[in-house]
Amino acid sequence: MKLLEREPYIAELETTLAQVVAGEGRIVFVSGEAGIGKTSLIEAFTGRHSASLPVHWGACDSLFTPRPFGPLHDMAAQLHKDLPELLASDSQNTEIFTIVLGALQQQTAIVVFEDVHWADEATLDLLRFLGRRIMRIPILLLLTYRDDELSPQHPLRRVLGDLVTSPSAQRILLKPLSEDGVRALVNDRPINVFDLHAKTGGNPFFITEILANPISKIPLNVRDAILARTARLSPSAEAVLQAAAVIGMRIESWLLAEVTGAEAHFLEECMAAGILQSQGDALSFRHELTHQAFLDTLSPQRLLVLHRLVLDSLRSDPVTRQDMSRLAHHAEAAGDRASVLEFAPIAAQQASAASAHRAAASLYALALKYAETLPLSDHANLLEAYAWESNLIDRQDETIASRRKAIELWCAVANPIKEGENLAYLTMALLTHGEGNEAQKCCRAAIQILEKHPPGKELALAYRNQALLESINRNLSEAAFLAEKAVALAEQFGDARILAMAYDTLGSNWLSTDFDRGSEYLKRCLDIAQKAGLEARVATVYANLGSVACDLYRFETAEFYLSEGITYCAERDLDLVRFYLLSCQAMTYMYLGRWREVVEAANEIIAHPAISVHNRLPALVALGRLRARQGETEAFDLLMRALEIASVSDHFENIAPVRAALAEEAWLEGNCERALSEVRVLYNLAVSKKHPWLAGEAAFWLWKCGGQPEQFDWMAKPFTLQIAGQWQAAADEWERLSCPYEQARALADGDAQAQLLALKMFERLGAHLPADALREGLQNTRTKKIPRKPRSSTRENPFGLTERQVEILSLLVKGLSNTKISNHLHISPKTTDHHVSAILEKMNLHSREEAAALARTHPFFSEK
Amino acid sequence: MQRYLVERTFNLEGDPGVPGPDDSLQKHLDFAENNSLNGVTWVQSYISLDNRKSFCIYDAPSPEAIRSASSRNGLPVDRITEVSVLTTIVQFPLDKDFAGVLRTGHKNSE
Repeated sequence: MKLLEREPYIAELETTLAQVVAGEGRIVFVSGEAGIGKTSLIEAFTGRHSASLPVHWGACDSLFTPRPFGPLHDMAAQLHKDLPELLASDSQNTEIFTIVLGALQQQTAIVVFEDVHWADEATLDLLRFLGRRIMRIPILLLLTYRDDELSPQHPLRRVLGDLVTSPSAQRILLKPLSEDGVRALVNDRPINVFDLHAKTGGNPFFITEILANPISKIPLNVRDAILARTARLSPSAEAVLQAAAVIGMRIESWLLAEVTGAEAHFLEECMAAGILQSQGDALSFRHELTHQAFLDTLSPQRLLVLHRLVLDSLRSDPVTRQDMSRLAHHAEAAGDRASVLEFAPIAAQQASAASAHRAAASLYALALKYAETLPLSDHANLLEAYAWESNLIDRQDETIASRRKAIELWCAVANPIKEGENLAYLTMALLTHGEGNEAQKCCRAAIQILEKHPPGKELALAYRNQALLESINRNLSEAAFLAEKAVALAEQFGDARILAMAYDTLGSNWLSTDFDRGSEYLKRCLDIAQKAGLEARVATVYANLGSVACDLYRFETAEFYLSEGITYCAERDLDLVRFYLLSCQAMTYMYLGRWREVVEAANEIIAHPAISVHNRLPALVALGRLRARQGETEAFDLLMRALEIASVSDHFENIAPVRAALAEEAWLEGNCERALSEVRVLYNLAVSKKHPWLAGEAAFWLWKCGGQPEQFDWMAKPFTLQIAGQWQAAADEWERLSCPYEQARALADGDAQAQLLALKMFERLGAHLPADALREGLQNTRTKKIPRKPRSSTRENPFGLTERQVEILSLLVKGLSNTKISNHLHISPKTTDHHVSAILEKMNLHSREEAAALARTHPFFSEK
Repeated sequence: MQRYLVERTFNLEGDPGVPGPDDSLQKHLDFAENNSLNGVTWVQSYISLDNRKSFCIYDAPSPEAIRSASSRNGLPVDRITEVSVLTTIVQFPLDKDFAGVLRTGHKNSE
């Protein structure tokens, strides 16, 4: 059937495909309500190219726990000969990702993932992995989903948020048919077109279902329209349809034949009626809506029987008996408890191995529904596995409940080691859930039980937890003592995970008071965690080292750990931590005087929709301070946004840096009163917390605004030295810390020669506000050889170009081709093209040569 | 006429839903009539010890005929499978051409 009103979409896809054929991969999200024609559109489009290009097609299932990599199974054999076997084994996801990536890089192709609103997490991870690298894969990746089925917490939303901002991604939202479209479908049938359009909302599937039957009156809903097709079917054909509906959206012919026995040949009647269709070597319903409508007509008794027949056939086939998710699903629907307990836990393990923790948790939950009949220890083991998965998907309420139940059961079978171990894990869940007191009690109980028995890894974990609790309560030496006990036990019993945890606690405990000692322990933790593949632990240790080094003004060290961590996380798509690291990196760059990089890192963070507000904080503060020094008015807005975010949690560590930044911004503006109001509270708090750097900075701003703050010997030296008038010593300290701006700020307090040096440093950094103030002061004292104030045209780039565009323009000036620029900046030629056209547009010029010529004569570029 | 095995699963009370010794003659006759209207002849039935499942042998012109008759009689149908009688012929001394299992259709065996 010809598609109506879909030509513009086809044309859009054709344009995109042309870009793909030219070598740059693209991703297209096709969305719309059920029945709007997503699949029809893609079938029509791929039909035009299937002779010349490979088309890989996979569909997601509406099963309650879809199996990991569901749609990938459909295309696996076509992609790579080893892939089906890899998928069947418990391979690491990264291994599968790499094979898929390698296969897709071989040749231009169209790859379709249908109905990704039902995708399992492993598939979503794969899509994110491919989406990130799409520019370098010569494929057109088409993803369809029902946009009206995405709840705010839907896991697909995160993937969408991640990928839609990419320049290689586009969205097609399918619109309903217009009244004219409906009229064309109705043709000369005696139907009121206006009425039909209104009742169906222009949904093409609904309309075709209605038109497929002789009409007396328009059915009220799509289900009635679908079921009208079956009114004329023979009872045996109906029986076949029922069996097919229970099998699922995709129906293996052999399976349907086994379940329907002597009536199997009535399949032809179902196909002639346009309800089932063949799809490769299998069958499928005409539409998922058709499938659902039939499934809903089955009586509970008939459902039970059919699911049992399907289950029997599936488990006797060597291929299908490996799909544990599917077996568990049918076993549950067949009311077959024993089979649920046989298949669901294995399916859960497989899902967990594929990092599909949400699916794993629901499969364990399913098994637990029937676990009361199991021996108590088997039941307890299931509860532990469920608690583990629930923790990974951050369902701490479930984790806590199942740990408590497991403790009860282990107690009943008199297994104190297991009881203690579960108490230890319960401690951690309670702590994450914000129940500190309960956690404390629970931890003590664990130690009490475990200490009565020969020590093992369980006791190591319990000691480590107690260490963590002591560390939180700032009992640092007690915490260190316990953490060392935990390290010794974990080492003795060879448990890498608990050993890494113990070193993490030990190191983090020391970090703020003795950074070098703490970082030694954390480096050991990194080493152990990396060897054991404990990726999340590695990432958080990098974040810890980087952010604490940054808080302690050890910016070179911070930069080292932050970039290492960013690379580590980027290679593994560990986004949450990566964004936090990037945010801290913006802060580090700000102090190190690498201001251009601050802007780039901060803008990436601030513009990204999926980054949590907490992770934005350091980037906002860094950019805010920098804009204040540049004399940009947006500084205040940025810092107010930061303050808003920081105020939510009311943590000193969050709010204090924002207040300090606001004080600097106010002082630079010449508003001492506001600076004082920002800094007074900060000073008292920082002094009470004995925070050397924040107290030092607070004292510094109080002093700058004419106050005489009390100083302590534990306060950060560079600040107190400057307050004491020792500007040279302060400047030397700042130089040692690699903080050029702060160094110049100290020099600005010095003699004329020092001030001239400070002026040069400010100008080089682009700190216009303090530079102007300093120049004015020098002129008043009639100092000679004051550097001329640069014309504003050399300070601010004249055409509103971004930093990246300035960089590209300066390469154009050097006569580099777009290809060379792309290679130089490690960006795609297409992105370079984009930038060059944007530059030309902003400069109002027509050619790159003109742009280069103008830039050569312009002071902004000539002084670069 | 073909021979069929019909699998049935009964509701949770385990009531096979067929007329028993306590039912009226009329009910027995109605049951037989609904079968014969569709050309279906009941041969024999086996029932699981919990009365939940039955395995019934019928002679019928088509599986559809069995489905209609069952529907008229209010009997559930899980699956209908066409079957034939399994005949084992063993010759002594064992001749490899004739040994083993020979399958003959129900029709042929009549």
